[in-house]
Amino acid sequence: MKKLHLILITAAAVLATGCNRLDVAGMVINRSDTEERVADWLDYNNQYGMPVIENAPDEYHVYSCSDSHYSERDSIIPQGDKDRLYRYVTAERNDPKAIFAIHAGDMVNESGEAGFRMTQEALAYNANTQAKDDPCFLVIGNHDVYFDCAQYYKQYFHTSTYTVTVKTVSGFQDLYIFLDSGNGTHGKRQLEWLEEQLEHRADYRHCFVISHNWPFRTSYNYTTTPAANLPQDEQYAFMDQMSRSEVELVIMGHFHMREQRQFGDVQYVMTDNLNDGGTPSYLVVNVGEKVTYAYEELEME
Amino acid sequence: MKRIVFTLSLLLFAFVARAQWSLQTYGEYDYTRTSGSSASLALKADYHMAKNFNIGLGFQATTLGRYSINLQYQVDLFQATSGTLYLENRYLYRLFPNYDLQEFNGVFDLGWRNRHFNFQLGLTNRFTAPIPLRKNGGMDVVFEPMNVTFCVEGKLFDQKHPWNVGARVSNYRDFVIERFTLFFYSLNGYYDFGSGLRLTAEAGLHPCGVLNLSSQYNGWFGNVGLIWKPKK
Repeated sequence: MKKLHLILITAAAVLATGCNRLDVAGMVINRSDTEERVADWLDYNNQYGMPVIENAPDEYHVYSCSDSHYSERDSIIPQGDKDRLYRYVTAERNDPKAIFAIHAGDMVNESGEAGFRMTQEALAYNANTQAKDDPCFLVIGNHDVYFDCAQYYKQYFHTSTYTVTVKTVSGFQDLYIFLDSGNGTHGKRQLEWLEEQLEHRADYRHCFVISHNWPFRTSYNYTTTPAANLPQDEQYAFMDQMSRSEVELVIMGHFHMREQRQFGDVQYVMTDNLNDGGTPSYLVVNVGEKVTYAYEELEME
Repeated sequence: MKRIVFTLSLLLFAFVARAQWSLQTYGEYDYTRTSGSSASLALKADYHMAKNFNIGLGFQATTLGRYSINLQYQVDLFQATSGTLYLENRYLYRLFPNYDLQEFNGVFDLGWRNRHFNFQLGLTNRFTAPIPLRKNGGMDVVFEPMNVTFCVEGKLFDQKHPWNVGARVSNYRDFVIERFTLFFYSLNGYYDFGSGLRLTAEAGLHPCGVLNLSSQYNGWFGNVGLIWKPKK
């Protein structure tokens, strides 16, 4: 009986405190609510506006990666020019056709602000090795909201619900919509905001949506059960909205593997993780008259 | 052929006449942040066809224009004084005309029930497909293999008690099967009026992000209904 008590007390202590990597208590305690975060992101947009890239070529490249998961605990920390996130953004900045990079969430893998600071440092422009200073646009992932970490994301990257408009030299406009799905839902306010953005879809040549949580559970790798986090009804509403609005490409991360699905005329693409051993890859999207994409493996020494 | 059909019909009639059956209806209010408010009406029929075999058919329509049909049967595999081990096989079809989308689920669960508790653990396969099915040459059908289903529920009193209250945690309900990481927490109860008529009620929460380790409130539901079980 004493042994049982000891096990129960230990389990309760673990649940109450968690460790600094897995936010076990966050399973039942709401640490950071999507509605409150989205209100913050939209306030920031109202105050500072949303990015517009002018004079882009009619055909250009966009790069996308996800899940870099910096962690001092796991010794996944920037390693100068060997660092994977740095190599990714360097590849983008040295591609003459590329105009910006995307990070589709999960910058960190533990509590505290260090992972966000390391991400910012890895993405900083290096004039010695990088041909141009292209921006990297980010969204928040589920690991970035554990332990109430969203405050650090806000401190370093400011917003996760916003649009980037690309205006080309011939007058085409492309729309990139970035969403917060850190809690496994897009939330009421954000979906209303998304609907407002998509009402103007006809003004744009192409439309892309970037969010962290992969909505499907389609792989034959059965461990992907936790990958599909959107409530079933929200998943269908989201898929319907993407189809109705003729979104061409939805880019996501989350489950550390490559996956591609088509539903309606929409392509859903998941990128694998950047910092989990193996051969990491990223997505290169070619945006021109048509939209095509390919996975590129990160060059490792 | 006519004789065979006639004989089979007589046998089926005799079987059903001997069977214990019940009818249930409930009205439900649902709210989720992303879908908003909706109301629904459900009808269910259950036949206890044999000592160890039960079959049920249910239908639900919602004000969001969604329709669901559920067919299931339970076979008792093993009975002991501490409870009954059973197998449940279930098929759920859901239609979302507003989204031009349909969903089909097949579930196999193993369960253990006794006077106060019920536990179920199983696997489900899900097909999600557009309407019409062959849109884009059938390329849009999404197959989700082997999702886990589970249910843990307990009641204060035995089922024969004239009233009862209980609690339930699971990732499915009568007309929806969520992924393993999306739970329904509910409290439920009933009151017997006598003459085979029972009043039922249930209220619950539907959070999201559970086991994604960033749980948050997503919605709630409440329903009130009646079960009529004619006495033999």
